[in-house]
Amino acid sequence: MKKVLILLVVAMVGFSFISCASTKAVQTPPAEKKVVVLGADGIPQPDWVYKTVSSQDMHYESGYGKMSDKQNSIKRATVEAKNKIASWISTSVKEVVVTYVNDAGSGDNRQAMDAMESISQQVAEATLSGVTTEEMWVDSEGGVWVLCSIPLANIEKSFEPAAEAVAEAFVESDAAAAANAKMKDAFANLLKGAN
Amino acid sequence: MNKRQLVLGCILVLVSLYTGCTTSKGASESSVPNQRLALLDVSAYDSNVYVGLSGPYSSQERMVEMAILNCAKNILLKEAIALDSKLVMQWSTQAGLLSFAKDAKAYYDNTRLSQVIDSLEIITIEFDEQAGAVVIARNTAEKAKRRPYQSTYASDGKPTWISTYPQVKGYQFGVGSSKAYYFLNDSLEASDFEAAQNILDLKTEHSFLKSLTTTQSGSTDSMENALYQAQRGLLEDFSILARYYDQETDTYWSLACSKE
Repeated sequence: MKKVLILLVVAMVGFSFISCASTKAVQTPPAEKKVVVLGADGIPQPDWVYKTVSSQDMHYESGYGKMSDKQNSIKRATVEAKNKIASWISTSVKEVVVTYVNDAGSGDNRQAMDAMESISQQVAEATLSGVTTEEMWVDSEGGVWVLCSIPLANIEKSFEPAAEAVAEAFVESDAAAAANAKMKDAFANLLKGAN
Repeated sequence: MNKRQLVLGCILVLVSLYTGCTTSKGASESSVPNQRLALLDVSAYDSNVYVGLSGPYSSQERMVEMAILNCAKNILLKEAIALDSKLVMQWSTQAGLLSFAKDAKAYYDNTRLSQVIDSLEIITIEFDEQAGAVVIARNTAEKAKRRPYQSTYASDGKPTWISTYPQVKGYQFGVGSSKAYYFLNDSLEASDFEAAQNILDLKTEHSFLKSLTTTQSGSTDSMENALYQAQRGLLEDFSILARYYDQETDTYWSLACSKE
């Protein structure tokens, strides 16, 4: 009997250990496997290829290029990164949206096509100084990725001419002051009329 | 001497002649361009030693004259080289890349060419069928310094700088390549120029960008982008540190460096 009792106790301890162990195993989610993408020469893909890089004093953009040779691929990748920087800081963005209805009839005659089409054009231009290619990675197919940076101090400088133009535009001339007074009068009269 | 000995002797002579011919042919095809580039390698010297090559001319005097002139030109290029490049690119979501055109120029100050030639001290002059005269000379007006980088080679025999840019504090590097032209000096000038432009691409002093993005949505969605870039830069302490010829692709490679 004593032997049976000892066996039972051992079995219970054993079960409790197993159950604890399995509960623990269930609670811990399996560690996520990070897929490592290898590029040319077996260099792993850096994070900046798919993640935004930021810092307090620099602005970063990445660019990609795949041309017939490495040099032109670098050229294209850097110009794309610089274009992203230019769009980001662009001092002159014009957007023209043209919307028109393409109505081809009604009822049975109506053609099955999208009636609305819109075309928008965006022009961006900027002058950049001090853009540096911080890092470069070549993927397994020979495409070149670059990470370019520009100091924020340089961007402030590029804003200076635009800021001056804006300041000039807002300097109140005598004529502008007179027009402003006239506008206020007109509004006042309009409001009187409405009441 | 009997007839059998005579036949054996003839066979031996023919075999040795054939072996000799094939060996020399193999050596000339595989290593001559890089042997030629070794003639231009001044990495063992201090930084005030320059090399100039002429390309083939009708007389040795003319070749030496041109090589000295090119040597002096390299000294002036080291002082300052101004680069100017323009690029136009157009692509769309439907057709991919539509155009990619570039135009690049380099300028240097040649007003002091004769003064620089006067300060040259010729170290060696060698002649080569394709390189013409190769002159190695010291610029006595410049202090001797160590070069910032020496080439290292990968297991396949190619220099490591072809795949990975060297990292040396205070310097920036550029790698350029060119398909082989008829004359060696043209091939080298083209790859050196591309290496200089590569420095400008990687570190832009001034650039102007203008882009036009047209987006159309409706029955067909499409986006077209046209981009123009103009950039300029001035490289100081510019020099070509190493060159390599890749026989597989018939391409010349240059490693350029300038002060950061």
